[in-house]
Amino acid sequence: MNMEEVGRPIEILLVEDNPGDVRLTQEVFKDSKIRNRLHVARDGEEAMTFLRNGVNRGDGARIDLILLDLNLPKKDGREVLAEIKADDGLKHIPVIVLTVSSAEEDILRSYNLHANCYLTKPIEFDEFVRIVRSIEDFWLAIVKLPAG
Amino acid sequence: MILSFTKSSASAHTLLFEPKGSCFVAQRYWKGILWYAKSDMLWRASAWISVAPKGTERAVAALQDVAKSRSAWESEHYILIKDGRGLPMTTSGNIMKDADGNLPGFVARITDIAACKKPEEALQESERRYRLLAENVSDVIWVTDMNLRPTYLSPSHTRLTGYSVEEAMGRGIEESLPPASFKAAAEAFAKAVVSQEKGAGNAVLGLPPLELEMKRKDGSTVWVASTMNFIRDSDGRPIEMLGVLRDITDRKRAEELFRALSESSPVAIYVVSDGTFQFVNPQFQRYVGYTEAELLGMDPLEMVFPEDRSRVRQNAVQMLRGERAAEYEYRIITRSGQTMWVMETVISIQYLGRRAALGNLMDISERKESEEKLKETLAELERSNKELEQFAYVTSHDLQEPLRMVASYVQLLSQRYKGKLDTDADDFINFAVDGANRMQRMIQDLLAYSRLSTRGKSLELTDCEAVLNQVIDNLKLAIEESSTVITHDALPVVPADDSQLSQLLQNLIGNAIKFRSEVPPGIHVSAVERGSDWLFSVRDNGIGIDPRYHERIFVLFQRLHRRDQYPGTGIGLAICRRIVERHGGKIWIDSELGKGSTFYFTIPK
Repeated sequence: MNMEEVGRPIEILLVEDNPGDVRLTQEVFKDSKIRNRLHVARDGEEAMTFLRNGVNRGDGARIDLILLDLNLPKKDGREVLAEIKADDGLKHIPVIVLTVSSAEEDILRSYNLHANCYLTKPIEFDEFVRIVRSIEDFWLAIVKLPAG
Repeated sequence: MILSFTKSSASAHTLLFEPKGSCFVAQRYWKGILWYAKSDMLWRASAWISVAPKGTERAVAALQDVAKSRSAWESEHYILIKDGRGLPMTTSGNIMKDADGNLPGFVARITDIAACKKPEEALQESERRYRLLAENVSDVIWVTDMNLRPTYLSPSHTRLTGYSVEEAMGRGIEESLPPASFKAAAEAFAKAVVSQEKGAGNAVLGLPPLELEMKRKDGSTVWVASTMNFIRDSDGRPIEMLGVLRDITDRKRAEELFRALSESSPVAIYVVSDGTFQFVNPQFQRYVGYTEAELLGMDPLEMVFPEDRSRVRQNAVQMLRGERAAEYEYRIITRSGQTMWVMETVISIQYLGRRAALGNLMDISERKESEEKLKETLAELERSNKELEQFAYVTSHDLQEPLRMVASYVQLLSQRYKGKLDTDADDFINFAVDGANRMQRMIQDLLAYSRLSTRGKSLELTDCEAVLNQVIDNLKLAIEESSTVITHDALPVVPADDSQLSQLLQNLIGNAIKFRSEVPPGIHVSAVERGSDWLFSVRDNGIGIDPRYHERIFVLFQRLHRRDQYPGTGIGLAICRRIVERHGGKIWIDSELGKGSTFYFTIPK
């Protein structure tokens, strides 16, 4: 990452089938301090297609962060995560997994799928906002890093 | 040689003759039978032979033959005895030889064919022997006349009845037997007399011994088995009765006990040998509905439920061999076609001298039926438990999703439009946010409550003191803020789910802090042994609880205070009760309004 990139919006891929959650996420990011572009995939297949097309295009959307729901129609979150982490072009992208229960969190750990973060649903709105803010802080911390 | 001849049997008499025919030695019994004085006996052989008219010539010829041929002879003839009677006799003779081969004489043996009268001495000898026998056997030998008056009783009678022989002879048979036995004896006697008169002879001999009860001197009774025979005169007429009494009291008592047991037993009892029933008690007959006559000779497996047969055979064989101790269960089909569950044990016994199996069985149909019902109920319970778990999952997952949507969007509304609409709108949004939040908490509490049993760990030995210290650490902030002082006695090690025990103590101590009075909270935790339990107590100096609410506070979501006074859903004590009950204990409270509270709970050791 170099300094030229500072100032460009964060590209976020939200993989989520629930329209309520999609809109909620969009609204929270709308109020964000930093510029961002939120792309949405409604199932696992759509997510993988979106990611691979971007890589193939080379000049397409460059995704900085993935928010991944586990319970998806067609290809579910576990498979999506496994494919991302097995793909050299994608595996560097941070993934935040949204799980429904702590039991699923355990399952994920046993799969050893290298998710970067887990968030357990249901989360209260305030907490969700807080998380989005911490993503912003995290992002800002990264972009402030000197070029390596 | 002579001596050997003189030791002849009672009915044979020996005489020695010189070759010329003179008798020179007469055997001692000769005297008895012929009634001659000894001096009279030295008469010429020709003289005594000649007195028997019919046999004279034959006897003489026989003697002459013997003399000529020097061989043995035998002939039949009469001899005349002193009182003039002629008796049928056989005589036999042998030529005697001395060591040099000379003939010193010959021997004649005269045998009494009729044997009408035994010689007196032989009789005495024989009587002596019989008496010796009679006086020394443990059985009692009795003789009565034909009016059943005792004429002889062997001394063993005293051992049997306690009465001396003289006393017993004086008492007579009617006094000696209880009425029932006397009747039986009299009837048997009458029957024997009748049958012998009809020419059946000693028919009684063929009958099984008569079993009688006899009175003893000490008031008790003994059971005896008696044989019964006639003693007859020379004309064959019965003149006396003779029999042998054997003490069968032990056998009789055992029989009585067996009969009482077998007839009154609620257990069905049977004996099987050679693959068929040999004995069945009344209860067995009642169970299966067949009569004794139908059962005897029947194969026991016939009435076993066909699918159970091979298992029953296998179990029975194993049990008879001593390889199996536990009773086994199977179904039988009764005569009326009903199926009955029974529980059985068998042991190997000897019955009528043969190897047999003694079986005991009980009707367990009712138990089986209730077992079946219990199984059904358990299955039902399991199913409803699963449904409940499913319900818990539905509340946790499916209900929370839409609730999260409601809560999130009303919060978004609140955040984005607060102060931009009118004050009513702000109020309405606030109520909606509060309601959604409370519902979320209640659902989460309900889940935590239901998980106490579904996610509970097994009970392991747990140090309560360590758990308490952990709880105090967890509540550190609340304790410091409220200046709470917590003290405790030594606490035991108990079998428990440590995280639930921790939750229990945390809820109770947390409540004590939450419901504190004006004074700084003081909490004391202790435990004492009470029977097989540990009795724990958590005492505080808080606001206390009116006794009428002591039951209600342990019920799910029951609250005694306004939410703005004390927050919370009202789950805490319900969780405490569920935890204590899961550990096999009880929880209760001792408290009065304004006087603090003491929560007690027990945990089995």
